Amino acid sequence: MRNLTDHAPQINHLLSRYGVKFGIYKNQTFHEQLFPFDALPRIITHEEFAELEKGLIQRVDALNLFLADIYHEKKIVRDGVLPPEFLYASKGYLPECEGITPPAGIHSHISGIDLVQAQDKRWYILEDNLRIPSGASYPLIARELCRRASPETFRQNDIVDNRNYADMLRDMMDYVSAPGMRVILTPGRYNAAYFEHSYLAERTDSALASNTDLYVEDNKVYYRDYLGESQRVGVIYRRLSDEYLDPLTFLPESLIGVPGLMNAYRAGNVAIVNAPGNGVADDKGIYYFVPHMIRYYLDQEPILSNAPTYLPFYPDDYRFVMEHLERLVVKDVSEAGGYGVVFGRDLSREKLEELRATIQHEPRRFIAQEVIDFIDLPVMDDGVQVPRKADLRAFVLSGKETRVWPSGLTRFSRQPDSFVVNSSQGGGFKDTWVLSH
Amino acid sequence: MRRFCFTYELAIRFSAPVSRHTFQFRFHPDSDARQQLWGLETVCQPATALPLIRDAFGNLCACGHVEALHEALALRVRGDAVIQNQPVRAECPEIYAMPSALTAAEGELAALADGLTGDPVDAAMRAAERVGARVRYCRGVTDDRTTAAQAWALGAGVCQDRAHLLLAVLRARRIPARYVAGLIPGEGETHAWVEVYDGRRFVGVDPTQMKLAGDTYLCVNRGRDSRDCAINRGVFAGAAAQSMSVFARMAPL
Repeated sequence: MRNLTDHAPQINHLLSRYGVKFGIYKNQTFHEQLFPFDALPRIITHEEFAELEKGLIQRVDALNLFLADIYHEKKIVRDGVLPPEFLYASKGYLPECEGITPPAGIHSHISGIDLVQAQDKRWYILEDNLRIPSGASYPLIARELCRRASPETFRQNDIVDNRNYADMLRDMMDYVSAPGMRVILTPGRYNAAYFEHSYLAERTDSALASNTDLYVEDNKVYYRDYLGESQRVGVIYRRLSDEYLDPLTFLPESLIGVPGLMNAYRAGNVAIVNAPGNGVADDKGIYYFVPHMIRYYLDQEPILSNAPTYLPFYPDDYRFVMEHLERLVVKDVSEAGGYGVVFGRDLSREKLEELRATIQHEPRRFIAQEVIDFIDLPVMDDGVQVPRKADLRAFVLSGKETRVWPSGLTRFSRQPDSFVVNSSQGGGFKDTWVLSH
Repeated sequence: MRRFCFTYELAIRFSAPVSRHTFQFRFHPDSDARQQLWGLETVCQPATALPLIRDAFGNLCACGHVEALHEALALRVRGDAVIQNQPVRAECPEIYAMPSALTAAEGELAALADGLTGDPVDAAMRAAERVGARVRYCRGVTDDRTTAAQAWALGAGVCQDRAHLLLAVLRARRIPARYVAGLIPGEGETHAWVEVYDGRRFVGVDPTQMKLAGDTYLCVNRGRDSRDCAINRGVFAGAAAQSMSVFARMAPL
């Protein structure tokens, strides 16, 4: 470890030189900031990972079945497992996607599942990210730099090689692809994860395209290269959100979308990774129902647990939340990236009352959870090891089969006592080692 | 049973040449138990492939792409129709009972739904009268983004606004209903009305003419509100202003 921590400044320097950055919007302006790397890895044992793997595959398979059901028959609603209010009030539910069967029937191709490990070593799912989860490239490139800085560390420890992410991604893209080439569609360099878009395009041998490089004719998508030659596109790994994807179907004012894309997609002539409309399954309000989905669709008991969650929408939960607000964490279901998360214990009496009133006014908008006291990981701070809260984003890829990438993005909070680890809130990251036996 | 012939013409002119023009044209009335279509013909200038696809609400939609520079786009549809308006048993997607972006029943509108009980079609007729009593027919004061609540506040609007208002009121009572864009005999623009679900079938109610939509109503598109039924949406490259003209005509055969 000494070897790695000694090299941390150089590694961070290289990361910044390679443009491994994270962009955030603050007060309407764009700031690009480094995503600080901590050289001490998170280590997951072989047995522990095997258990996580089983649980994650189960969860993602159920979520995919849920998405297929929601955009077709809605059996889960008809059978009374999911109240219709939660479906139709969810911002992530896109009626425009009704009746579409994506190529190979897969909706969530890349799932970023956020977990934390509690003090008793149990893992809890914090949230599912099924739209365009970012972050895989950070540990990927950090691992490469670490191997270069300290090759002996990787010879002496039995660490599963994680450099196959791009191959996994490419295999998945090829599996779901219609006839044609691979494209990664980026909204451009003012996006929080632009670095990742270009990196993954290079690694998967895909064209990195902006919307003006693509057009739709006869319900097929074409890529126009710099010579003006057109080539059919079979799969688009798009890194822009649903509402901007196609101005003829969604926001008409979108300038970064591809007009007509949804028709080509509906006709089965192109695969979109991840499928539009997935937001309905990673909605914070739907999260509560994921264990129910696992039982409903797979007839299995969930292997991984949710954090204990209450829905103020239900009268019993509403009373409980109102009585115990000061010990719960309240999340606004319509926000992402660590925004709209409030810890009851941090609020003044006055603010607590305000929150109560807001929940009373719009119970469907919030979920409340028990605060999980998750473990600290050691982080180097000015040459000293300090404990900091950390979570794990696991990446699950669904193509021919569902596979968990044997690594992940470990994010940590840089402030002591803070539980918010999101990169958009200024956290740092670590490599995640999975031991091979 | 009535027979009609109809035409629909859309002409877009640009103040300067544009290129890379992609558009979605949704004017392809479909044959079903209610209406049968013959000799439907769509012509586009400049000529381009217009592959049809059924959208999320069951409407047929053609997507065209004109790459080269052009200063105008013209689309013309003609066809014959037999309208029977036979009541047909149908399933109703739950979403038609939920408010949509343009049909949220805010403030006073929710109160308008008070006391609307009993048969959904009767309720719809009574609601249409309440809407008509307040919202006079007036062109040019609303546009395609006007919500039901805004039209109510204005006290004026066109058939589209009255349809949105009727939908808002019905959905406030969780009575499923959908927006219909189509043609009625005459010349000019397209018409809009509502289909209310009575538990077994959809029944057309026209809150502008204050009557049931019978065998003189040709349905073209259906959806949650006018946004799902837009006849044309397009995106092009070029710094040009566009002016659009529409001519619709339906006449008995």
